Amino acid sequence: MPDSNAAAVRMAPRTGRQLREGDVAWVGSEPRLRAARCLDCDTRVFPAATVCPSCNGERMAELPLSDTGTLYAFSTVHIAPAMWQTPYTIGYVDLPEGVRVFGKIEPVAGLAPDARVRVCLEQADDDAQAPGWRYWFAAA
Amino acid sequence: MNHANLRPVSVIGTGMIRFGKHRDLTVPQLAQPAVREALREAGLEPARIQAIYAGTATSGWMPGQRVARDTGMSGIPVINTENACSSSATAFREAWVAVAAGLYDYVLVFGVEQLTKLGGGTLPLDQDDIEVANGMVMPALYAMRAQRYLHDYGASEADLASVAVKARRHGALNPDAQFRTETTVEEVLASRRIADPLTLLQCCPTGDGAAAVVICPTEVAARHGERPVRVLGSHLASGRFLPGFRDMTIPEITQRCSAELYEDTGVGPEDLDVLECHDAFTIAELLYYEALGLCGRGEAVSLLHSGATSLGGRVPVNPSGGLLSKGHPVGASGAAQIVEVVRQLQGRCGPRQVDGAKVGLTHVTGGGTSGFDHGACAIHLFGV
Repeated sequence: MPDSNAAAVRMAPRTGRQLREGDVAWVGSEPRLRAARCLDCDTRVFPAATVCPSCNGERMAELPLSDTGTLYAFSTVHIAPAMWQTPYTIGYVDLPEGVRVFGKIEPVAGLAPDARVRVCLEQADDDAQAPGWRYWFAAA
Repeated sequence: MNHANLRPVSVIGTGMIRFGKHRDLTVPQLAQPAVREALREAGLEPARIQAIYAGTATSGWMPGQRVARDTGMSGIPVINTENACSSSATAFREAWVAVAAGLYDYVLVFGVEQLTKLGGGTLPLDQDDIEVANGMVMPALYAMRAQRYLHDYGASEADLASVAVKARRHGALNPDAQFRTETTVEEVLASRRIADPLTLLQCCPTGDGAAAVVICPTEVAARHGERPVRVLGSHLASGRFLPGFRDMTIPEITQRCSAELYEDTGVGPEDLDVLECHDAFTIAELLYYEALGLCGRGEAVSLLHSGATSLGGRVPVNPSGGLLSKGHPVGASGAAQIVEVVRQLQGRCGPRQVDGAKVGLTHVTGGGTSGFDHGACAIHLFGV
């Protein structure tokens, strides 16, 4: 796909939420999406939570998510609130840790459910006071 | 739930305005004709109403009080409910609980919404939600369900479009419907793309509307109106947080809410003569055939094409035209579904009448927020 289009998916104003610095975990020198796992009931949740939404427990451990997963379903959106630059593609990606993450997808021809995709992360400074990260998915 | 101490409740009055774009009216002006019609049908002066339950999602503060003020009912308890698309169905449930428990005898329920004041397009969702903050809009949520359903069960986009064709065929017979013209599969598929694979005519329209009902204990219902309709059951469910991988072709909250209601009442899907379901998008109606138990998993397209869910079929679904054709002024829809099913059971629906209908169901759900199938679901059963 054309580079300009890829840039629009990632960089259009307010395209995708900026994660806080703490929403990213490090595996060696690689940034990963940071989920949490409940040490009592094994519920996994992204973004990471300090209280388990299944059992209300507080023993939550950091769970760095894998950088590749399987696309469950996606849609290219043509009508959206004015803040969004359309069209854009969004979808759900299933990661090996048992966590389904919703996000923007770089659209490529022939994309279909069950495709392999990778997680992309980049530093973002939408909020100059609290720089963080932005994530999206691209074909693996 | 323990229903042993509850009184039977009946609907004795119904009212609604034609759904559509009513930009020049205020919210109380939208609701007033529906409320007055329901009171008139019930044969009740406003002073007889003991409480008002008002459902709306986007009408601001105290919608019930503003309508009460303009219809001679100010001063009595007013309960305003917001539960997304289930707002007025939730109001109806709370009213039913109050009358069934013996708290009040005569209660007004209404739903109202003015979506045109939001400017059209997709509904505004909570920006604090991580999915919304990454571009989720309601059509896309349903579009992904559609994509996965087509992928898993080999259905086609033309199958989806056939739901809209049926809705518009029914709506053409309903004077209160926003859309009163028929359409074709080709026209539906050629309409503007909204969220692939859903096209414009597969999405409920932006519109305004209001609907109202009056309920009372069944033991006195015969004094008010000729054909009271019994409330056979009322059930409300909330979204259950489901972590991990979930099958988006299974509307979990609808499946659970209907199963619990069927168990509570002893009425099953095989007993239904008519129903109104939450067909906000074409795929939704197909998923709800399965979730409500009208057919098995993966059988919805066959059921649709068999004609069973069309007027004249075994169990007509959305004879009013449904959300796709009648329209979906969010908070008004639950009450409007009840108006339709009550009038069907009273045999008052003219060219769209389901012959001999004795048992009907209304189903409304909704509310897009991460971690849930939907936030709320209210299902009601009625009988004569």
